[in-house]
Amino acid sequence: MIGSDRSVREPLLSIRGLQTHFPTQVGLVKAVDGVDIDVQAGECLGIVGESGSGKSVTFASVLGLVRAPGKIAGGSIRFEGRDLVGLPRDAMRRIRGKEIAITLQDALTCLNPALTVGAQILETLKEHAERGDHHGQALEIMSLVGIPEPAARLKQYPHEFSGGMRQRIMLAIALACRPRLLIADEPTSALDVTIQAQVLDLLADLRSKLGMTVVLITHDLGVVAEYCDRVVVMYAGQVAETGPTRDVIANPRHPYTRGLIGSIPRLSDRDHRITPIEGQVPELVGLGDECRFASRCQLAEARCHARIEMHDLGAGRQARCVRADEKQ
Amino acid sequence: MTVATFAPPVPASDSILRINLRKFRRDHLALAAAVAVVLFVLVAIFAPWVAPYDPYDTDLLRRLQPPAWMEGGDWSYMLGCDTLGRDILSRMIYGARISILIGVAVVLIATFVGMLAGLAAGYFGGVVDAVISRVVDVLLGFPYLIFAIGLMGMMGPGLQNIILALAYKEWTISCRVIRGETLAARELEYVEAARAVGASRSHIMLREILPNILSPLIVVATTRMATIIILEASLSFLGLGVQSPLASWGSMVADGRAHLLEAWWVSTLPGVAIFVLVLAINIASQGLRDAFDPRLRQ
Repeated sequence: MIGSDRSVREPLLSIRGLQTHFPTQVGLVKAVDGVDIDVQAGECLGIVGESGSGKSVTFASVLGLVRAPGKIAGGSIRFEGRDLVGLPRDAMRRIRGKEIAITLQDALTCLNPALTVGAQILETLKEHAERGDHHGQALEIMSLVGIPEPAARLKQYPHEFSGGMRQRIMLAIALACRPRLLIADEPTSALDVTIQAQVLDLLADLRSKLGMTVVLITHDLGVVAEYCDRVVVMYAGQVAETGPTRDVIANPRHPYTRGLIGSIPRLSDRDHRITPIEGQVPELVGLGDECRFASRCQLAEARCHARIEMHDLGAGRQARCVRADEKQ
Repeated sequence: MTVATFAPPVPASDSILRINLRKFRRDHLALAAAVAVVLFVLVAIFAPWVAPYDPYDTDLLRRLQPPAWMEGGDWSYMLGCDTLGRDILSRMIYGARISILIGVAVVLIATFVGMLAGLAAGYFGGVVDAVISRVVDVLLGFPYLIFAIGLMGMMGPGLQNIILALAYKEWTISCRVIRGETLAARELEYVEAARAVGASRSHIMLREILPNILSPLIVVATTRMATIIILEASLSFLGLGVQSPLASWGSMVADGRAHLLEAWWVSTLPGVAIFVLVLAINIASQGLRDAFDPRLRQ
């Protein structure tokens, strides 16, 4: 597995102690509260968590796309040695789409209805690429993402495409400049299940063809299990557990990860009952150092309400739980 | 791995604007009105060839000559003559030039200025929005005609001044529309997506947002054109518009005022022209609105 020699190589993207806060009327919402994530070059990293766990905001922070009044309140985001936090707007603009690309949630509304698909792909190329045959490059990327008759299709408008095709076009736009890192934020949540598999297979295929690093943000642990080398489980704005996907799923060390795995329906075992995690994600206002999962955790005890540190479990695994060292 | 793809025949591509225009073509009343407007424009453009006489030629023997179908009329002067014996038809044809030129010029200037101001106010928000919106509020506080009369009083009459006097206030209308549409559009996912691929702010405003809010802009511009034509006629009627001998429908109505009882046609016929043109523009713009506004679609 690619992530195994992590101690040797400098990660492509390194997020340290990231704090992204949103002031609201009920108080300061710490949507991302001290997140550390390393993305190794060439790997596919899965980010899982419920809605509101901070997974999208973390990567919106990477690209400086956090909407005002939200802002990055602390921490560092290093990409190839540069710190992206506090980078001037123009410098950030040159990185977006060129070196780091992101496909946003809900691809069906991410295409401009007034412009042809070709114009939208060409825009990214014109914005970042040196002079050259942009039209040819656009054609090439269209065929790369599996769109038949690219020349005719380039002249069409988004409403003339199906949902799966639009997701492919979103990928084409994101990949137009051959970025080193692709952040795919819920790339399949707006699609039918059958199309989801097609798009994810395409993503895996493109990753190996283009030698790209991929961060796959999803709430579907099944998707992560199938496509990702490593996984980061996020809960309430923090990293709950991280490690190689196979190890984490086979032997989860955080009760929340265990809960996530328990709530996946299984076809092979008809008697298996889905066990949902009781309760809901806590309000992200005024949370202290205690374990954020404690209120929903069946194993919660007194020491869970003290400060919880990340426990390094070796072999690239970490978990934020007082009982992380105990085998299940 | 390979992805199973099927290739349906690729249909001809269609922009939303073109689809809307096709919808407009199915609205027969609006289409007829649009044709009428185009006729007015053509007549105005080709006035020197269309008009039977020189509109400035006076002939006191023909003073207040009635239209052809009335007693004392003459088919060579179809719509009769005015107080100085000038051919009314020729003067109306030349008058169409003034009305339409002013209508188009004011709307173009005002729409362009309003568009830029509205985009800036809606997209940047904050101080920029506050300043632009307060200026708009102040200007909207003045009654339109009084404001224009005041400006004409300061600048003096003349074609260029009447266009400026109307445009000074007119841009606030399109500015408000564009500002509102921009506020809504800037929150949409495709604008966010454009930011995510590193598009500049001017690019986002002009290339991503503007094409999507063109439809309301076109509808507002055509509707306002009718209002501008009436305002120009009002100013000319009051003697603050274009100066004689230039013919304007408003000043022609004013010319015939003193003879309304014995020679009603001198004032009435240019009035009818104003009425027909404004009505045609309104019906056509109504049709555009129906075709462009998705909320009215069945």
